[in-house]
Amino acid sequence: MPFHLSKLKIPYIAQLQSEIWNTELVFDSGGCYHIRARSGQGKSSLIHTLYGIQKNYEGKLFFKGKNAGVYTQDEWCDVRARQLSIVFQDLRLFEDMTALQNLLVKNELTAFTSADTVLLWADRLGIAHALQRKIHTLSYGERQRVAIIRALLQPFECLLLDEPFSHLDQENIRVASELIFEEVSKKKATLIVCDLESDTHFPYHVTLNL
Amino acid sequence: MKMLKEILSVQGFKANVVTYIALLIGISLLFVSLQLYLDTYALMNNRQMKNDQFEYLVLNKNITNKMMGDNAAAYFTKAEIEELRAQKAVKDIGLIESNQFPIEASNFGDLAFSTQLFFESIPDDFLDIQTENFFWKSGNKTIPVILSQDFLNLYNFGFALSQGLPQMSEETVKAISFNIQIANEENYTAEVVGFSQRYSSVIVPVEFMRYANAKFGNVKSYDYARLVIQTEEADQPELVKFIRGKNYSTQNEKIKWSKIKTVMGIVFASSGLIGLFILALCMMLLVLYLNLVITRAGGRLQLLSLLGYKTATLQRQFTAGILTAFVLIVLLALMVTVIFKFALSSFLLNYQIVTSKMIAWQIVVLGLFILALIFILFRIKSKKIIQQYLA
Repeated sequence: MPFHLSKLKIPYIAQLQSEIWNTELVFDSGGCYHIRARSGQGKSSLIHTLYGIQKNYEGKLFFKGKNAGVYTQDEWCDVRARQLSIVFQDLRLFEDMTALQNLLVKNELTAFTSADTVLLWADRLGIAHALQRKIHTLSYGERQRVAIIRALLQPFECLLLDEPFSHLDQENIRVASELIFEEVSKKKATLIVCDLESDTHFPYHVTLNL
Repeated sequence: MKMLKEILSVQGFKANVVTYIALLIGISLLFVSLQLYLDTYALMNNRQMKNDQFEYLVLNKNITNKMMGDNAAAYFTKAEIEELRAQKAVKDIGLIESNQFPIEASNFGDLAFSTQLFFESIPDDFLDIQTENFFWKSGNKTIPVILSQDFLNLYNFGFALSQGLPQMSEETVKAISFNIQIANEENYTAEVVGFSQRYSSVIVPVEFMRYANAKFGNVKSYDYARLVIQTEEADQPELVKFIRGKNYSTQNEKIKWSKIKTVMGIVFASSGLIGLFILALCMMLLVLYLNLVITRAGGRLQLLSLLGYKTATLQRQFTAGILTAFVLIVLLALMVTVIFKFALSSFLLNYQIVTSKMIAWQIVVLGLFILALIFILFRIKSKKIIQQYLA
């Protein structure tokens, strides 16, 4: 049970009640969740809240049974390094560093993944050629795949994906979701995917409307 | 953390080379000043080879032309004595009594002489020689006398040599007794029992002085023209200032060190202060530099904290280089001081001044203190700046 949302709501989001806001909601370990939302309904706010960036909320949020509201900065850092991984909608890569540097700086934290694996994954997602290039020279689709690999480098019990495939074609989505699901299954982790439309990229257990 | 360093683009040693050189100069100056101060202090305290816990100063009023018609003006009043006693530096006061009756000393035989003489009496505790023979009680016909070492020197080197008279050792003088007649009435035999380096006088036991003054004295009340004060250090600036202010006179040789000590103190304090000032300026520069690099890395810091980098890890990237440099600089400054101290003590040895070749432990303590201060300052400061940027 990575997350438990108890009467959680964010003051600046108009929606008073939904399948997520202002209700009791539990994400189970190993579950595969799809959160569907139209633009502007607070999808990224929800993800940011779960990731501990957005702290302006009412109600309570529990991560692994502990009130996330009392986590310190350092505790959040530990969670982000070892338990919770994320692909941001806006990716958040170091623009003037190379793709490889972006991956290595994440891997340096835990040294969880071997260099060979990194190259293997880059090859699978078709960005091996881009590893030595700076992020700002890459297309958005390529950047998205760098961010996906970065999210998979670390140990995690829950993976948050915020519109992870918005700039990828069907073939690339298939390859990427395959890799992601492999890793999630291997780690017996919870997967939470936010997107605009319904999709079948993953074998979702539950679909929630925001 | 190679990649982390690259991402934060923290520059190494080169960025602050000039500041580090200035720091080395500042800290070395501070250390050397402290070492010089401690050396001077130690030398001045050792100079008399003190084996006593205390030093003694004989005080009298300066004799001026105005006082010449009025002998009473040379005496200390009760109020003046009390004021002196109230000084913090004064541990005790010994009152020196003088005779108030005429004394005639004479001898016969080979060393025949006859002369008018004076006596003074000083409380036993204030004498620099302690001997059982220096004692008198009513009815004794022999008076023990302590002579000034200066008198014997005057005789041996000033008088005897030029007049072709025999020089006399202390033992010889002690073996001679001479006749004393006081107030033209009572006759005594005087025997020299010792020589004083502290007092330029002819000293007799207090008991005898009391008895004779009471019997033959012209004045009934006791007045004191000379005092001896007991103090832990004769050259304490406050005491010297007080004595000068009152226009009292004393052995100047003993207190002139006070002036030198004060001047040296000011010189070393100034150079120490310059060192401290340089140190403070460099610290400011480094804090500014820290502020600059952290601010420049601001956005990256936020993203790094999103990836899971803790504040302490991030902070170390910025401070580790500076703090390592600081440790090296303090060690270098210690080495500079060691070399300086070695050279100084070798140089002083040419003048027969023996000082330790080692640096004082206080300097190592000061170095550790500076390091601790800098570590704490930079930790707190960098943490504070970094935390503004974290998510």
